[in-house]
Amino acid sequence: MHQLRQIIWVEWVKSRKSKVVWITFFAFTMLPLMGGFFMFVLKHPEFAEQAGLLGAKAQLAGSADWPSYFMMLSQGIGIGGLFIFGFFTSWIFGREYTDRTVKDLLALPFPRTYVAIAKFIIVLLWSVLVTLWVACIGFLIGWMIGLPEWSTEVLQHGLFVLSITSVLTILLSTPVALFACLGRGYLAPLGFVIITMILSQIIAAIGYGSYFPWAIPALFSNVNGGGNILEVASVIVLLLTSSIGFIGTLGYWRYADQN
Amino acid sequence: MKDIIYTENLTKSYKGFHAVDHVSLRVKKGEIYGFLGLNGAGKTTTIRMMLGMIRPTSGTCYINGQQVSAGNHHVWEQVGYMVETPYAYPELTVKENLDITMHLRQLEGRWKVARIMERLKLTPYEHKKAKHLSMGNAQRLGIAKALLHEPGVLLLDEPANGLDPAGIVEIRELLQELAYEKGTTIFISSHILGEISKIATKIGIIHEGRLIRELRKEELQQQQIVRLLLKTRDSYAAAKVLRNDGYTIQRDEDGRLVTQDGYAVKNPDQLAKRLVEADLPPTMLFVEEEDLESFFLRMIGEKGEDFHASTAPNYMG
Repeated sequence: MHQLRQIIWVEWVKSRKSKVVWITFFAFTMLPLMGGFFMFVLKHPEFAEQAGLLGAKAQLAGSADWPSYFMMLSQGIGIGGLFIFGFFTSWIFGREYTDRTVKDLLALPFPRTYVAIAKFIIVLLWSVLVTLWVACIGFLIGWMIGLPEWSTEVLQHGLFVLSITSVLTILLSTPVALFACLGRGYLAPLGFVIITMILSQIIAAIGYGSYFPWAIPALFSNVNGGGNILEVASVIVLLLTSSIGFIGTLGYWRYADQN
Repeated sequence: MKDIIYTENLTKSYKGFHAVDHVSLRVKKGEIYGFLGLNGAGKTTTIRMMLGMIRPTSGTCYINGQQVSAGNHHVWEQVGYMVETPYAYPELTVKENLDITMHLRQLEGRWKVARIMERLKLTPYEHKKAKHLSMGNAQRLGIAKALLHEPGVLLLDEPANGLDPAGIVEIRELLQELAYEKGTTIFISSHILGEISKIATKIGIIHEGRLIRELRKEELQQQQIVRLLLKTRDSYAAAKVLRNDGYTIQRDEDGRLVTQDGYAVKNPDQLAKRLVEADLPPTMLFVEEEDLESFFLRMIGEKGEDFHASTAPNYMG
């Protein structure tokens, strides 16, 4: 356990010193900013009239209140999180191949799978941190705009949906890690992330989103207006996908030839 | 003496192609084993199998008596390594990269980082990011990472790459000190044959995946071809005189007389004296020793006996 803590520390230092991680982190600040801007436009119809098309787009966010704003943040995490968390994962796993540093992690006095586990923990950590960051900025912007309908129930429900959506999205990072290993870099997993995002839109549109893992977080966040529903089958499909990614990645680190 | 590194019929095949073909070698404690081969001969694949990075198609490798496998991580406690060009985390400084190795190897004592930087002359660059290092300093950093935990076994792939001549001498002296004073067992793969000849106590030659020759340094010296070259104003007459004295003399394409006769090679002055007595004084007399490069090429059968001149004593201009 002490050894694993040391490796987690190493992975933390590596990611903390990486510009890519920080750029990704702050890029996601766009989510509460855009959400807040839409709320502002909806709250000020005179501004919406001047803004024309922008005002029409803002209507898609619903009404200018805290429940709508929370829902928008959750949907942003359910869709944008796939990309942002996927980017963290692609970088943290793929950079070892791109920077050719992977060979320095293979013949060390601890099981190789520890490295993969430590990396997953760091992906989880960054994903949670960026979610908290988005939530905090979201609160600040919502408060600054002066959104109505604030209550403890609204806050609890909003945070519940936000948290579950984040967890579901984070769980989908594991197949990205597997693609980073198989593709030996960060381009292949990024391609995978983009494809899953496109497919999730298409499959959700034809009505099978509940069975497509990458569409499930967004559906849960009520992106289609069907409520915050999570079917058992969806949970099973998502957990199965995540497990395949996790076990596959660990298996790759343990068994695959590292040429 | 105990075999520290021991491979038995180590083989790696890719779709029927034998990248490494039944390589069996032994390295004893404190030995410096030079592993020579052309590009693509199988050096790096062998080292990667020794490090458990690649699973052999067949055969086994043992280090410190423990069988190497991806699952047996205990074997790496006493092993330091550098495979191919060393790379470090580019956005981390030299010191931070070494700190990372400290943590990965669970080492105590931050002075170890300072000491290895001092030893490899990296102290002036300790706060420099790895991406801004010269190739030579990046190489030093790779070696520093391999040596940080003072391993009993070192596996180094082309450690002299990118180093300037002074750096090569420093690393050579460092490795010799480790082997001779601390008993570190060192396995070096290289194509820089001159460097290997200066440092290795045992040499293995790999060609097309097969270990075609393994010999100690003394054996190498015995097996290197030494020959005497001489020129006179009348080569035919000189050859006749020497043949009459029992020497086996040949003429090369440049018209020089050549002999590998043991007595002649060891006593060139006697031949000179004999030719002077016959009124055929030599205009050139030269003892040529085959260097490791030529020996290597001769071994792999690519370049016969057309070897380069070494720095052997030139008796006459």
